[in-house]
Amino acid sequence: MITISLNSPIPLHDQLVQEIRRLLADGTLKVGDELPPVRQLANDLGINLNTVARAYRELTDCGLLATSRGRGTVVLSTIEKTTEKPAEEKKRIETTLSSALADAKIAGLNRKEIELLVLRQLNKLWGVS
Amino acid sequence: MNDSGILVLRFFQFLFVPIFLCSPLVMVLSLLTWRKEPTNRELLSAKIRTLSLATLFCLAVWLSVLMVGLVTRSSLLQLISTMAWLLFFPLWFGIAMPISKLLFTDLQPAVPPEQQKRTASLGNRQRKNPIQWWHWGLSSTVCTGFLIATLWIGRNIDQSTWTPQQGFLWFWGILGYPPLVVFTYAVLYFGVRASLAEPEPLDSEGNVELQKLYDDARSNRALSMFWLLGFLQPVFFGACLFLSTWIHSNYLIGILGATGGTLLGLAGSWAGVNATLQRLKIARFKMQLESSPSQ
Repeated sequence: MITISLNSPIPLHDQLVQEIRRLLADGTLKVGDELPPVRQLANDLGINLNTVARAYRELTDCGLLATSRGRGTVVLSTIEKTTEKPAEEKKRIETTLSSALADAKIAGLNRKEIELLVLRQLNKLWGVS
Repeated sequence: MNDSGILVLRFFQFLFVPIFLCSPLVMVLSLLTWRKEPTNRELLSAKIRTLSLATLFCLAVWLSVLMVGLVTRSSLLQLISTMAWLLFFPLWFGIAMPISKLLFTDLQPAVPPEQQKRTASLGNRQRKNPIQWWHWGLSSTVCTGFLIATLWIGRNIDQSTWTPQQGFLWFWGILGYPPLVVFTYAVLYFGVRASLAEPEPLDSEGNVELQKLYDDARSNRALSMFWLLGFLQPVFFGACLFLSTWIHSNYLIGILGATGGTLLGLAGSWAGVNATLQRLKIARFKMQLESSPSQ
């Protein structure tokens, strides 16, 4: 299931991209899974066709989805195709992570609570170790 | 046509207008028995009173014109009285439809525009078209059968006994029937496609029962459309074409046409009401799921 919010400051197509990436990361969507047609998903969410098409296109450009005639849109890979060097990519992820952790600290969470949050997310993506 | 046939025809003609004029009120009253606890009770009573008075007024207009026409032997007034069924439209669209909307205030679009948080399934639930190749095959075979039978009867009958009008109807009927059937199939094809793409938003947990309700409603909708538009309607036209060639009785064909047309119309209304009730059931179930504590 994906959920989007119309009153969020994040643009709708970015929300869609994030939701699909989340499902790819936690294993809900697997390689070869068929996604609903653009029109169907747009109708179900009550949003514009172009918004869904744009999200699908962005994910296709990243090498995560593939669109073919007859089969529709399918999951091509769960690993993103990136033009960045591995070191640059790690740096980018570290920056995002550090910003999220800083947010959590400023929101008043203590170290233990943040560790629990991080552990929960790790368990979601890789299973309980 | 014999006397009893003409009597039956006159009886049908006489009943046609009042039945049509009373149908909006009957429909509203039947909806009212189905909906036991309507909201806006006072407004609803006022509107039903208005509809009852308007129906009585229309019936009085029809009866007055008919009586004056009969007394004065004015064929124009008698013709006008048969056209009084047109008063159905203001009664239905002006009063009965707003009443039905008042009765079902909770019947919202699948995705209400004011809803800020929206959920959908990302699994492709394969909205398969329930209309199989044999459905199309059955319909086109029966239609082709009527066409061939009409052509065969027309060719083998002694056409010298026909009036020019009968020959004209046979010829243009044969020519016009296949494009009409093809056009009906095309309308049906696009109609079913649109119906299959109707929004089916799920709850945040992707409830299986809700998905099944959507599947059943979608399938029923498409199949009703097929049996009405893709089978009954073209077969009915084919049967009328065949009978008008076989039996030279305009009266009988008229009665059969009117009866068949009315039955088709009633079947269409039933299918429409049924689809609306299914949508209502789904909307209520979804509302229940969203308000339950587990969500």
